[in-house]
Amino acid sequence: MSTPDAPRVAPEVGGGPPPLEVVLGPADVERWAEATGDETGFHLDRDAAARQGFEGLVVHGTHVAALLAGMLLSWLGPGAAMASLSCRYRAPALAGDRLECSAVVTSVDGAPGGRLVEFDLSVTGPGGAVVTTGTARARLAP
Amino acid sequence: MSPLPRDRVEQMLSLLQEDVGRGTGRHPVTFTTGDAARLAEALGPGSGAGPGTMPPTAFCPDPLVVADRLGLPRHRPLPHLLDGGTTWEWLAPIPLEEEVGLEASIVGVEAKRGAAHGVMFLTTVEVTCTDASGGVLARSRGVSVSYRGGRA
Repeated sequence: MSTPDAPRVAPEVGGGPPPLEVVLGPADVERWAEATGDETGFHLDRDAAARQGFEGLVVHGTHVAALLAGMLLSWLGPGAAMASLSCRYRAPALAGDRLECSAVVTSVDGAPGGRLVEFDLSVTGPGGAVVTTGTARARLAP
Repeated sequence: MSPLPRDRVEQMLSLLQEDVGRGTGRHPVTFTTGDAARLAEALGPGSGAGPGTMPPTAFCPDPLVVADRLGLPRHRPLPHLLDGGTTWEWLAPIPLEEEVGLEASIVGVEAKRGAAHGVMFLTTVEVTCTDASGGVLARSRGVSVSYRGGRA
């Protein structure tokens, strides 16, 4: 992943950031729960997760969504800002799963105040199962 | 488990829909650099936050949780809850160390029938972040899914 000091990219339709592979372990899930206040049982307690039919601790959907936003901003470089982000959580991601976050540019528009870049987003888990899909718009620095 | 009868679903839906438009009013909030740093740390190196800024979703990392904290009760017509999806929209920069406002409201309720869980009730909650003069800085919507049981 690029750093905040990385040079700006020139987004083109069909392009996008390199996929981000991430494994969120129980400690990562717990840290997110503490930071956001979402301490629902199936995120933190294996028994509670099992009672609801999950085979492990469930990663917060909002955690994955925030990672997607970070991935886009890091790729777009300094001065870029999110305009919108919409995610649907289609299946649970479990703590310890290897997740692959992907984004593909679907349009680049020369809007006033900075070019607007639109993305299709997806996050897949083990076996390529889709856990999250979404769309995003980000504005490049003028 | 036997499926919920259609008339029972419609009755429950009708009751839940009476809450559409219910809101919390505006609550003053100040996002501190410490808040931003904590969320950025929880998110890891790819947080998208630069020096003195906060990760984009930090104004409302989870609208269902924020709405609950603001005093908007979460619908739970059936025993289990899941987060069905989240949307964020940013209209203007959200300042750190300055007072802004957050308010939450219920903006929609619908019933759906899914293959895995049967009937599910979906409640959409919106959290709006405003500046001192009431101008909208950002919004977030979350969908709370209530269902009877089984694996999601």
